[in-house]
Formats: sequence, C-alpha cells, structure tokens
Amino acid sequence: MNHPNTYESLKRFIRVERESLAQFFGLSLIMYALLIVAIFLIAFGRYEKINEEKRIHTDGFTLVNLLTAFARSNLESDKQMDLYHVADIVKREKGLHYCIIMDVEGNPFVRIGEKFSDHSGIEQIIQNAISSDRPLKQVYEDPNGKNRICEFSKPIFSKGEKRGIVRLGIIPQSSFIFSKLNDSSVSLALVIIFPLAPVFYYLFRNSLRPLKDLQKKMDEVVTTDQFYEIDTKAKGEVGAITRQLNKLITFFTRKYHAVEKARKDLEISNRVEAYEKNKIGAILDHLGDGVLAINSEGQILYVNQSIENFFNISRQQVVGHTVEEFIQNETLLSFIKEMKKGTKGLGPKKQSVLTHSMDEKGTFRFVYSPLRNVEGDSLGELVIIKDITTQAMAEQARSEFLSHVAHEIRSPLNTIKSYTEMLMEGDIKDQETEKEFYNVITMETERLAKLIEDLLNISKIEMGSLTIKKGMVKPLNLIENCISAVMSQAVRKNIQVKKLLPESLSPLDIDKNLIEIALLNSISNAVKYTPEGGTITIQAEEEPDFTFLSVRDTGAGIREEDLPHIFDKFYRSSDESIQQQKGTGLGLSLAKEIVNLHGGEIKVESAVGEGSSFTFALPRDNDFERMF
Amino acid sequence: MMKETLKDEKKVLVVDDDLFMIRVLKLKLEPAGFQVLTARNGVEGLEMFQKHKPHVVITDVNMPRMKGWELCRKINEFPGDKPEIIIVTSLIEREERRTIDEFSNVKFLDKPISPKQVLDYIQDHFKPVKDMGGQP
Repeated sequence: MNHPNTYESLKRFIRVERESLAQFFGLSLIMYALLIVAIFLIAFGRYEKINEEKRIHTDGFTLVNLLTAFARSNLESDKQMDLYHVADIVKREKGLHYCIIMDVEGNPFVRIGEKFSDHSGIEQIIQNAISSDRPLKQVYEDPNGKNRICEFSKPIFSKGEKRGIVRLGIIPQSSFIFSKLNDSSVSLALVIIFPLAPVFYYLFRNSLRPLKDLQKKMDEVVTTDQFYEIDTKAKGEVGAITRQLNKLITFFTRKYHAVEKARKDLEISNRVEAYEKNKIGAILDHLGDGVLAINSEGQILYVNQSIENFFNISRQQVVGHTVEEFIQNETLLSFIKEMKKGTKGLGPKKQSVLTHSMDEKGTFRFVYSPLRNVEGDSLGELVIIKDITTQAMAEQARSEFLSHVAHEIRSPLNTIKSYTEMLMEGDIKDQETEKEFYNVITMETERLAKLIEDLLNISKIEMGSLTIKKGMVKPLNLIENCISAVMSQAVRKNIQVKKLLPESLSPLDIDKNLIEIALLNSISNAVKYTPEGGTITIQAEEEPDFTFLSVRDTGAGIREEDLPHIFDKFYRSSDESIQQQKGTGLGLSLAKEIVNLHGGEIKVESAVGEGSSFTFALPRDNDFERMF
Repeated sequence: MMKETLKDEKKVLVVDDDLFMIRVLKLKLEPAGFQVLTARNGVEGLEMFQKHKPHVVITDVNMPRMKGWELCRKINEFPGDKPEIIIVTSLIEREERRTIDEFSNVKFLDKPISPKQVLDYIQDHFKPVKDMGGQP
C-alpha cells in the first residue's frame, strides 16, 4: 500500500496551494499600498504644479515687463537685431516656447519659436493680446494639443501710443509626471478606485472561497482514504487548480489501483508458487509412509502428515527442533543415532532398514538414508517410516497357520510314534491294551491322512487353483454315502441316525467329491460331539432355488463365544469336552469354502446342552431340470 | 521326613491336552515305579503341582487356558525345591524356547517323543537323588 506516499503528495500539494494563497494576499496588500502611494504622489504632484504655476506667473510677467521696457527703446528698425538677440537669449535662458514682438496689426517684428504662435488656431489669443492695454496672461492648448501653454503679453507704449505687443509663450516644464494630471483626473481616479475596493475585496473573497472548499475537500479525500474527484464549480485559477487536482487524484487513483492490482497479482502468483511448492508437500502428505528429514545438526527439516499422525505432533511445532524433543520412540531415536554413526565412520551408508513394532499402533519399518544434494554433500538424513502392520499381520497369520499345521501334524505323529514304540518295546502286556494301541495308531494315521487332504484342499481353494468338476449328482445317494461312512462309529457310540428325507430329490449340479467332503465333515462332527445314546437327524428339503441338507445333533451345542469362529481354520473351542475330540481344525472351514464355491451357504444354529444344526443350502440348477 | 516320603514315591506330573499322550506315558512310567499325576491344561497342572509337589513335570506347550511356557515359569516362581521340568515341544517353537532357557531345571524334548527316552531321562535324574537318599 502506497497510501502514506499518496497522503504526502497531497499534503505537499495543499501546502503549495496555501503558499500561493498567501502570495495572493500579499499581492493585494501591495496593491493597496500602491494605491496609497499613488494618491500621495498625485497630491504631491498637485502641490508641485501649483508651485510651478506660481513660478511661471512671476517669471512670465517679469520677462514680459523686461522685454516691453527693452523693446520700447529699440523698436527702431536699426536696432531690431538687438531686440531679436535679447528675445533669443530670453527664450533659451528661460525655456520659453516662443517670443514674439509684433505691431498692433499683428505683424511680428521679431519672432522666435513656434510658427503656430502667430496665427493658426490662436487668433483669439492674439486678438486679446492686441486689444488689451495691460499685461495679460492667457492659457491655451497648442494646436497640436500636445502642450498647455501660458502666454504672457504686454503692449509696448511709446510716446503715449501703442506701438506693439510682446508675447511670451511658456510651457510649464514639470519634472514630475503626476503634476501633469489635473485635479479632475485625479479625483476621477479616486472615484473609480475607491468604490472598486470593496468590489475587489469581494472578488478576492469570492476567489478564495473555492480554494477553501478545495482545501476542505482535499482534507476529506485524505482523511476518508477514498479517492474521488472534487466537485467544484469554481472557475478561473481555482477551477484550474481543482481540475489539476482532479487530474492528480485520477492519476493517483489509477496508480493506486495499478499498485493494488500488482499487489494482488503478486499475492496470487505467490500463492500459485506456494501451491507449486506445496504440491510436492501434498504428494508427500498423501503418502502412507512417514517422511522425516533431519539436517546435519539433528534438527527436523520436514515431517509429512503421516509422521504427524504417527507421533501426534504438528509440523509447525517441530520443524527446527531436534528429533529428541518431540519423538519419544526410543527405537527410532537409537536407530537414527546408530545410522548416523555408521554414516560418519564408513562414509556414505546406503539405505538401512529396521522393523519395529510400535505399541498398539502397529508394526513399522524404518528406512534410513542419508540426504545429499546434487554435489553429494550431506544435507542430513531422511527417515522413512513404513506402516507394515498389514503385511506383518499377514506374515503373522501365515506363521500361525504354519505353526498350527505343524502342531496338527505332529500330534498324530507323536501318538503313532510313541504307541508303536510301546508295542515294540513290549511294554503292553495285556491283549486289550494292545488292541487299543493298534486302534489308536490306525485312527491317528487316518487323521493325519485326512488332515493332509484337508490342508491340500484348503490350500487349493485359497490359491484359487481348486477346479470344481461339476456333474449331476443325486443328493440322496450323496447323503447315503456319507451316513454309511460314519455308521460304524455311530453304532459304537450307540447314536441313532434319523433320516428325514423325501422320496426323491432333484439332481444337483455339483462336484460330488467336494460336497461329500463338506457333508461328511459335518456328519462326522455330529457323531463326534454327540454323547453316547444321542441322536443325529439328517434332513433334506427342496425349495425352488435351493436344496437344503441339514445335520442336527443332540450334542453339547456350541458356546456363544465360539459360534463366530467355528468356520475359522484351526479354531478349537476352549471347551474341554470339545477338546477331547481329535480333529484337524480344518473340517468346517473347508466345508464352508466348498459350499461357497458352489454358490451355496452353510448356516449354523446351536443351543448349549441341546445340540447343533448345520444346514447346507445348495443352489438348484433350474435350467437343467427344465430339460427333463 | 518329607524326603523319605519322596524317596519312596517318585512323583511325575504329566500335563497334556492329548489324552493319548497321557495314556502312553502313564503306561510307560507307572510300571517303572513312578507315581504318575495327570492334568489336561496349564491351570490344572499348576494346581496339581501345588498340591502334590511332583519331582518331575512333563508338559506339552500348546494347551488351552495356560501354555506350557507359562506353567514352567509359574512353577519356578514357587519357593522350595525346583522340580525337573521336561517341555515337550517342536522346533518351530524355538523362538519361545529362548525365554525359558534361563532355567537350569528345564529340559526340552522334541516331538515326536519316545516314551522310552522320557523314562530314561527321568530315571537318570533320580539316580543321584537315590544315592544321596541311600547314604544316611
């Protein structure tokens, strides 16, 4: 903002205006003074003039008396030259305009000076001079109108007879110009000047008013911080000044707007620049990995949003501070310290990685790399913190799965090995125990085989490499096969197997082997978890879209906390009565996968102490049925 | 006086959720003159230990309610004579083994175990006790 400058300019301008105003006052004062001086001079001139008149009067009469006296005795023609001579002297000496000596008819004897003096336009003057017997003073204007002339005349008497007349013309010679003015012109001047004074004053005041308005408006302009043109009707100088001022205001306004626009443009360009700059920041912020840059003094240069979130810090807060001040993670700090040491000792150290589990926040991987400019000088270090929680969890799940598998495989192997060893060592003496041992060995071998088969199937399903070989299968046959597979076990446990099956069921387009695995898993579970003397009910129902196969037992039921997990791989209930039963931990999981692959569903209902019910919903291929 | 009793009744506690394992060890150790106590999980095992103070504890690792590692640690926290502890485990659990290595009374047996090997080990363990018991 250039406001102060604008103000200054305007103020300076107004100051100049005030000065000219003062000058105007000064000028008018001088004018008044001049007027007074003029009046004084005129008065003085008048006084001078009166003096001159007196002098001329005296001189004129003295000279004319003298010349008359002289001429009386020298009128004779032989002496006329002397008269002429005297007249010439008098004229030269006394500044006479003319000097004429003439006879009573008006014919001059002697004439020195202006020609007009003997005739043209002054006949009356000459006549007066001739006819008068006494000295006479007459004043007239010369025919050229240039001068006022005082003529002194006196008749020359000789022997009682008028012989001639002497005429002297004198032009009053005033050294003072004002003395030329006559009274009337002076008074006229005064008459004009004095009434005009108030008019001047009024005009002066009038001309000052717009200036005052101007000043007021200028003040407004300056104080209100608003540029607008000064509205004035003033004419003349003030009008010109106002116009100039308006021009100036327009100029300043334009300038101001230009400056303001330039400032805004700059601001926008700054923002754009900042945006460009921030673009990389924005990219870094959207990176899931934390980015932490530290200078060689150990101060934080930059942290991205992920770092802010990881450590619950804010960028503004930490930049310029040391890492230790804000990041309390010991592992990270010691990692950075360690890496720094390495960098110093062994020169440029390349990326280094440390996996660290950060509280409940998850698992993180620290990647350290020295920060270098183009020339290869060290700028500090860059630490990238990768959130590898998901990978770590997957890794953990994989590891747990492997551990489970190993455990599940080792258990039957363990049994088989120890039982076999007992038999071989001859530790078993009675036949009953021996038989029991052989049975256990057989069972565990079967369990192992089944486990491996389940594992392979699960693995195939998970890898997506299990190919379903669909074919038309009669559900009733499938059910019968499964029942017969568990029948011997059921009989041994005195478990009644009830069949609630319709006379016929439409064939299903399914993979016979896989569905058999799933259904058998469910039925053998029912036999396994149903106590002696219990009942298993196998039921089948048909609906337009699905065929429902259900297996219901009168076992212990599944505890509520176990229900959500029964389809999880290797999930075993913490219930001891369940744990006594050997299983692969994969059966239900596999069954669910298989049914899902067929576009079906397994549902489980269970009540503790009453039993459980597993229902398979298998989609019916209606198109196929229509063919029949 | 207590030692006299112990000398006659060499008590072995077998902790395993696998009934087959319990059965086989019982059949192997009892004919050799050991009193075999059994428990199905760590919690039960700890109770049995407190009650009977067996000389040897054979435990599985993977058990519900309390794992073998914890049982081992808890047993060693009890004051008095430390029993010989045999942890039946697998190589895959060797990471966790390290947390138990500090105890001198712990021996690891890899699955699958041999009942004979277990018996031999226990008998070896009781030999010096027997000698010392025979001297007075």
